[in-house]
Amino acid sequence: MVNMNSICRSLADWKNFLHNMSYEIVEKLKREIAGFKDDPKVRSVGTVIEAADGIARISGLSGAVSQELLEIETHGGEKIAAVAFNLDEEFIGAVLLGEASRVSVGNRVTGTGKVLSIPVGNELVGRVISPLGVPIDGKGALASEVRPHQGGRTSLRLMPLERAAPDVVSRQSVREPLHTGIKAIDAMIPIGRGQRELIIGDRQTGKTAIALDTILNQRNESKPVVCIYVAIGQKQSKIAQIERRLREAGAMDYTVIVSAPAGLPAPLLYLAPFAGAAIGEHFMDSGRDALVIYDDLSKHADAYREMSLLLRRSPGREAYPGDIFYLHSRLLERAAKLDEAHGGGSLTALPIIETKLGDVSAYIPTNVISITDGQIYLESNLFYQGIRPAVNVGLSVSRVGSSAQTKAMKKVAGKLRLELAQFRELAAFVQFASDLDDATRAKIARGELLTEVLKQPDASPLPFYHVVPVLYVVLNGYLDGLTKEKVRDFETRFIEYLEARHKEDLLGPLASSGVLDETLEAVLKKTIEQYHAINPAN
Amino acid sequence: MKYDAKNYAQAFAALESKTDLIKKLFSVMRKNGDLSQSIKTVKEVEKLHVKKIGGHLIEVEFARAQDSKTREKVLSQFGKHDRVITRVMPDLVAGARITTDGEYELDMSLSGRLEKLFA
Repeated sequence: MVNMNSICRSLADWKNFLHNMSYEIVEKLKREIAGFKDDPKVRSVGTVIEAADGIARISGLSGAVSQELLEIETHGGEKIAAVAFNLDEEFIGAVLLGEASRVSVGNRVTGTGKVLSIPVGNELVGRVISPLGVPIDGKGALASEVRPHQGGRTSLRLMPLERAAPDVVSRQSVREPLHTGIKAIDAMIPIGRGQRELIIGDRQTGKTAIALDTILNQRNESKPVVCIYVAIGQKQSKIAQIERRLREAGAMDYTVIVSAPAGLPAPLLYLAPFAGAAIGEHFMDSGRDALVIYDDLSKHADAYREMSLLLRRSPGREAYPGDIFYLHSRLLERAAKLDEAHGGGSLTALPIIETKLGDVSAYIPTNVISITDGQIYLESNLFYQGIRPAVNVGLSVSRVGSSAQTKAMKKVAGKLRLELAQFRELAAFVQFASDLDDATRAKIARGELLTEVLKQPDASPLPFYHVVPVLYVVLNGYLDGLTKEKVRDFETRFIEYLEARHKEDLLGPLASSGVLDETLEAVLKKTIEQYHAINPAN
Repeated sequence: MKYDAKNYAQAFAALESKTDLIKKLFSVMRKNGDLSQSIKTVKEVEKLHVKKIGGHLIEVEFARAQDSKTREKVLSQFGKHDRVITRVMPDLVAGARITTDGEYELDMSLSGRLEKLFA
């Protein structure tokens, strides 16, 4: 028999519960339930027939398209996402994006008709996200959720991870500089906005440091650049350290970190750079400048190799699949400088490749070298000699950046590369300097000074309007006779002096115009003479 | 050479008289160390057979066990060449779900409707 008291009590509880719920939520739900139309339709399904190592083989779903996002219904009712990769005659080879251990044989699979996408928008700035666009920095969900089907207002939009690169018509040549704040790079291997410049070198040669300095330097730029740092297969501790460093320097105000640490399954490592590119494209499409750093593509290639072998694709050279070149070329082709009709935005890419024992002729390094518009080659020997950043100027090149170089820098640093090349030719004779003629001795001394002045500690990028006067001083012989040990001290004092006394008449105009015209050059010459008069020792 | 269930099923389906060959099929599979694929092979043989006679492999999942009358009524809806397998699936809560050839699904279960409502 039904107890009336208990019914009344439960009704009262229910009433209280409803009262506690927000009116809006109830109304919204009411509308949804009232408007729900049940129209059972035949849909295409598949079945998991094999699942192992993050890969599932699925029978059925004959209408699935390549790269389609699939949903696997596990026995617990949970849905796990997968991406269709291999479309064989009988089966689909799919990579699992969720917890692979929950997937078992017999699970039902449905297609979504969508390709893998992530939510992108300004709210991502300052956040650390997974390759699937989920925030993982413990700061909660993104401020506005993506609910286009419910007509919700949102500033986020879904961007496909794989998208065709901008076509030839919508592009323009690289013409604006992207300053890294590193003297050696900005002077000799200039990078332009929309360029793809490879950073290559052995382990522990300062590749990531260059990328991070470039991010840090963007806070000095008048035209801001949104930075996206994609960590692929890095240690969690290293990623945490990078995030802390950027946050402490205030660089997270314009940076997004896509984190795919080494512990994640290979499919997520594979997706990480595409997520970074998708975020960068969002900013590029909105007419802004973005910089994406892929740290590093060697590990990305390894993850793709693992996936391909598990999917039983034929291995090629070094066991990489045949389409490994296309994998990186389609990723890096997405970097572009758009023309004004398309908003004028840009996406600059700085891929990083780790070489083994300096072997740049290995498969992946040669592939990426041929795809990119130049490379910054870092050498272990230089690093251990204390020349940091350990940039090998002879092997480094920027194929398109010179047209984007700031005019003042171009004017000053024009002969820098030549002087350093001459110095390298003569470097073998340094120890016999006393037996050499005066001209050779002078060239060696100048080379040593230049090498010294191009040294730069970590996390201290310099704006170009500081670099130009310093290089001008060295290249015009004002420092001849100064000992190597005093170069760093001179640089610091000279910049302090310029900031204190010549901000208005020299640094300001130089920063705003980017040109070292005759008037400014005259001011600079006068300034140097004044400085020498005050500081005769250096 | 490694054979999969489909290869065995195709070879078996191509042979004329099947009754005395079933034992031989499993003997060959044992010899090749492929007995673990026997269930898969049987399913594949069934699939091929149904396809050959022009029918479909139908899987009907009910939320709870049906009496024989209802079951017969449901089975009578399909063609004589179709192979219909019925199963009880409590996860469906109520209603039924029909799958054809492991490829097309008609979901008329309550769990499916709830899922659609809150999707």
